[in-house]
Amino acid sequence: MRVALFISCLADLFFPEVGEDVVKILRRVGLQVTFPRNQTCCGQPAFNSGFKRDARRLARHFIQVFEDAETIVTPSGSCATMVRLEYPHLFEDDPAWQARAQAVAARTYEFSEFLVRILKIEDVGARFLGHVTYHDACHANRGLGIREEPRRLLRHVRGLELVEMDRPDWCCGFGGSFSVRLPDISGAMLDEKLRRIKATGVNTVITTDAGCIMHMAGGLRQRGETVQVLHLARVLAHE
Amino acid sequence: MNKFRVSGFTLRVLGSGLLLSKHNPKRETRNLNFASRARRAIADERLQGALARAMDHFVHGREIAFAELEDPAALKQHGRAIRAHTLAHLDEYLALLAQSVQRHGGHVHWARDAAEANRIVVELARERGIRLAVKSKSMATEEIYLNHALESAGVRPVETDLGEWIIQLAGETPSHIIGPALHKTRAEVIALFAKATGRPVPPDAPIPDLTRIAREELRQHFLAAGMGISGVNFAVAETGTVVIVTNEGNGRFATGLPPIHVAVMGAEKVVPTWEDLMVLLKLLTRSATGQRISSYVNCITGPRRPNEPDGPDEFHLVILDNGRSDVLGQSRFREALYCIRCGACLNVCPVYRKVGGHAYGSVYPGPIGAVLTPLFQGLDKFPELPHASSLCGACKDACPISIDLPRMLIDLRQIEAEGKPILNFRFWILDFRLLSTSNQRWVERVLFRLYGWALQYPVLYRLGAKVGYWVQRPLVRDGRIPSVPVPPFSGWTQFRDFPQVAAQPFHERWSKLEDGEAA
Repeated sequence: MRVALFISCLADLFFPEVGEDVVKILRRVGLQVTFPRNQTCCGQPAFNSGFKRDARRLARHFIQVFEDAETIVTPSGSCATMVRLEYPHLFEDDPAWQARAQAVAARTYEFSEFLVRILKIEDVGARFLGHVTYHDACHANRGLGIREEPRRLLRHVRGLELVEMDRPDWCCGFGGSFSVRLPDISGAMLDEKLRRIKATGVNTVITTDAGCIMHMAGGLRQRGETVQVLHLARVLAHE
Repeated sequence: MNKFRVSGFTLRVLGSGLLLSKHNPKRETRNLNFASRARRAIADERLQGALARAMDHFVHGREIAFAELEDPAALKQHGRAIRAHTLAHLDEYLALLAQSVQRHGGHVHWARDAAEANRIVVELARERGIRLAVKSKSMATEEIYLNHALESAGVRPVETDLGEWIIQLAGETPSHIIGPALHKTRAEVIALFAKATGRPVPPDAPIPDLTRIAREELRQHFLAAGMGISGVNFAVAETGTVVIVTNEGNGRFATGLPPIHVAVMGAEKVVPTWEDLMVLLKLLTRSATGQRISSYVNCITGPRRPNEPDGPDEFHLVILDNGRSDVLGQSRFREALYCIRCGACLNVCPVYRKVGGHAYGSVYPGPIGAVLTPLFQGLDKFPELPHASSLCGACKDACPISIDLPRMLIDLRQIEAEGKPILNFRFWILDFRLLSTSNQRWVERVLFRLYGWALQYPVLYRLGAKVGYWVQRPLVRDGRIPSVPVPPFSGWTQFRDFPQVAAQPFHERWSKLEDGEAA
């Protein structure tokens, strides 16, 4: 099976090691990975801010780049949500593009969802010593219903113990442009999230979205905390 | 002369300020925008505690109430189907409702907007020489500021729901659809009660003592009132029955005792049949307060019959449009009218949890308010509200009708972002538009246009990555970027470090990985 990787712009620019780890894991389970070189951004920032025409422009680009791929996997729940749920809506008035959007949407998966639901793999042979907690990224959770998949993968990691925080599905406050448009509210939401994380006593938070990682890790660093925030792939790649 | 005029002006300003703060302390926050009101709420530790406690309580209650259902998803789907069907045939069901109400001896009034609705109620009071009206909790009458209209006409309205009475005494608006006074502490309530009754209330008075004071005080008003005013949770079209859901019994008292009962309903609150009512009622009480059923469900069909011992002599139903038919006509916003006002979306909303109801600056707060307020009152007056969400989707999940609030927030953002073009011309990649005044986001617009254009070209994307890396380098301190002095990044670094652009982004690392595959 050949899988095309959509790295997502945030992971590409800020967390390239996540991409390396995703490739490593997918190869470990016997897949061939390709990386369409012309990929950029899925257009979600523009879409969420109400600039749908600009989002459509990037959606068309994404569709052109990935149209030939048989399966598209991305380590970002929110980008997967954008492609799967929003692309078909974006082209409501354009049947030709809508059909192409639907075809691409139907073959796009978030990384943990792809492993567990499609490949039926829960143990990727990883080892990671320590207690961790899992933060449900909003779009992965409520958009795609991804709750159990990352947890199952984590439970099969040798040496790892999952400690659930109170309300792991509460938003960390990122919300894309929301975080800079209303920084006080976003910051207050982050405060509460970090309090809940601290209450677990763990030193590692796992999640599946670069936006949440940026936000929580940035907040922890500014507060001088030593808790680290890692993408799920980083833990699963650990042997 | 000049001096006199200046001092006269100052006096007037001072005077009106005093007047406003005396009658409505919340008015002073009207001039602030959403962001500033939110900031104020976040800094208020007492409010933060009250919000967290109340929200946790509501959320927990709702979860338990739904968990015990055999198939909550099916019930929600059923509820949604009823609402969708009703709204698709709203005109027919309203006509049927009006017919049924009249058949049972009630009167029906149609109000196009708030002013018309207020005029109708005020006239009913004036014609009968009524000076005192008791009210049961109602969001529709809050929406039209009925109390204000009654007061101006010399009719004293007394709220009889405990929470509503408290905020009426404080001169405030509700901060939550279900718990209007949840932002008030016991100490504040004690002070308000002492002032209202003219008797001292001990500073450590326990809650039961306070409710007794309220009962004693309100009882006099129930007995003296010439009119009872209520809202309507549901109105059953087939029988003309108005359903009022309460937990305090004040709703029954206020609608049954005074000689005339006036019910004000949002036009969307109609349900076709009693079977439909049962489904929605189940969803409402479980979603609102986590109850299987509320303490009181009043089903009122017309005024007192000749053979009945009690009930009002007259029953009037005011059916309020006030922007609803406009919303009904816009297919992408129609489902906002499916709302049954349970408040569940407020309780789960992480933004509401931080800013509370008053920050929204209108009667309906939270995610549903951020959608309804701009729709009812104009996006140009409330351009910030659609942005009061991280789009986390918790509201849609919690909504018993699964109203797609995040999608409507994005659609409102789109209207707000694109404005109403008056003049349009294009130059190169930018198209310039002379926009209506509602649009203040031209800088953002230019940025997103550039982003949308540039990122179609992988070469420019990669160049951007390089530029980003080099621009960032001088900002790095001890391996961190604690502060970026340029908006919008400065907003980010107010509360979090900025992430560093990788010296070698993934797209540059790929060729090495690709070799790994070949080997």
